[in-house]
Amino acid sequence: MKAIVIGSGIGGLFSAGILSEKGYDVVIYEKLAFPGGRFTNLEYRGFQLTTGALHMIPHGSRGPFAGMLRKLGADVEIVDSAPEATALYNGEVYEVVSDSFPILTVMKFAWEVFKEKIFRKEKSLWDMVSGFDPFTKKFTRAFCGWSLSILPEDMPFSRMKKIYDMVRRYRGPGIPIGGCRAVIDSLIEVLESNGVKIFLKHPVERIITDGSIVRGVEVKGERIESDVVVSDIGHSLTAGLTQSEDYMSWVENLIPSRGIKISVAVKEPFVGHTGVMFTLDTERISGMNEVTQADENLAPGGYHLVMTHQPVITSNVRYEINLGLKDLKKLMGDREYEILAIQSYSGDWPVNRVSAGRDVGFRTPFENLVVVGDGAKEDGIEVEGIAVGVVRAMEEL
Amino acid sequence: MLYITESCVGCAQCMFACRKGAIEVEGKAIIDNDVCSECMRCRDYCPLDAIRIVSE
Repeated sequence: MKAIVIGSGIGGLFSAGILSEKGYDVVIYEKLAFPGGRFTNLEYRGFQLTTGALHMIPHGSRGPFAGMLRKLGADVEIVDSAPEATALYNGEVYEVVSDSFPILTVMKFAWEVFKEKIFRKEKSLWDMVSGFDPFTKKFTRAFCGWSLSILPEDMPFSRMKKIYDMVRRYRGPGIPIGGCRAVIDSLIEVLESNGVKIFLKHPVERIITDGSIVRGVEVKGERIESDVVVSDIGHSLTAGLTQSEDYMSWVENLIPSRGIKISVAVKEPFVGHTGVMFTLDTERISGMNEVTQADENLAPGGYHLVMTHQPVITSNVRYEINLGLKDLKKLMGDREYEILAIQSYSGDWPVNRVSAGRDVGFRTPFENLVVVGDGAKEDGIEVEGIAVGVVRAMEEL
Repeated sequence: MLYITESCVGCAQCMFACRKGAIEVEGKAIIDNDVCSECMRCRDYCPLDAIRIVSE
């Protein structure tokens, strides 16, 4: 049996791993000159910046993502963050633990969860926290921005509850030693030993369909037959490759989430720990991390690497960047810092190909074509949702 | 010379790929064609096919 994987992002590599273990003959076609998609390193002046992700695994060594790495035999060292998170609020830094929230808020939350269970009335996360204390409201906004690149107004509470339960179960983030690229390199090593072939600079030009099944793909004008096709490029681009009108109209309203990442060099530690620092006093920046706290080799000697993340709220990206830069200036005060790169994510190179809470699943109108990656996540933050989605999709094939 | 199309979202991968330092990014990529040697390495890193070449 032959399987073709379109795209070598995390979803594509995980799928190739599972399929090769099942005995499939797997070939991956990657359009770009490097593997890893939005989850790999970009070296810049000795700093290991990234194509997208923030060198963090949302649930560290305990979550579904790390579980998938272990299952496939990919050897990656993940340093679990301690503390998991702090919050910068009214100029003070607080460790975020369940005690950080007023008891009244905790009780109201329990009551809201209970009501949701009983009455099943759909509310947004923001409606749900509107009666809470100011810290909890600002923290909710920062958490949504950092973890999901969305506003709490756009997040259905029922979906958020699932993410909340995952955080309770698997705890907070971790940092892979070597950054995102270490994960990709390790996965590729496993795949190659399983006989998987990866072709870089090989864009798939067409998915060849026949009724409700897929026959293969066309690459560089050549027809390549396959029993199964896994697409890691999201539903919209996949639908375009099939040229199926039905599929294209089904996915035309999918909304990607947009974000801006600012990578900053500092000489003195700013975050000061391996976790996330949520920023509650800002206009746009939701939070930041300092991954050099876990792996000093992610920056040249004498420097720390700070990465901030913010959702994009208006349609004017330049305006959003300026607000982020203003936030950064305010946060840094009179400290010395240097901006290494400002990277924006939207359209066909977004934070998530489908916004959190609006995922449409892995199925397509074609029996042997599935979509994986951030365009077809299951509930779960970022790459954790990708890992869960891949497991579901591969069970189906 | 090279130019950047409307599909650029500003992910900056071209900036990192460029060995001449001819690209700056803030919201969108901007190419300094006086510095660019047209090696086209940036195009291999652009996920959106947003870099095009035109003859003068």
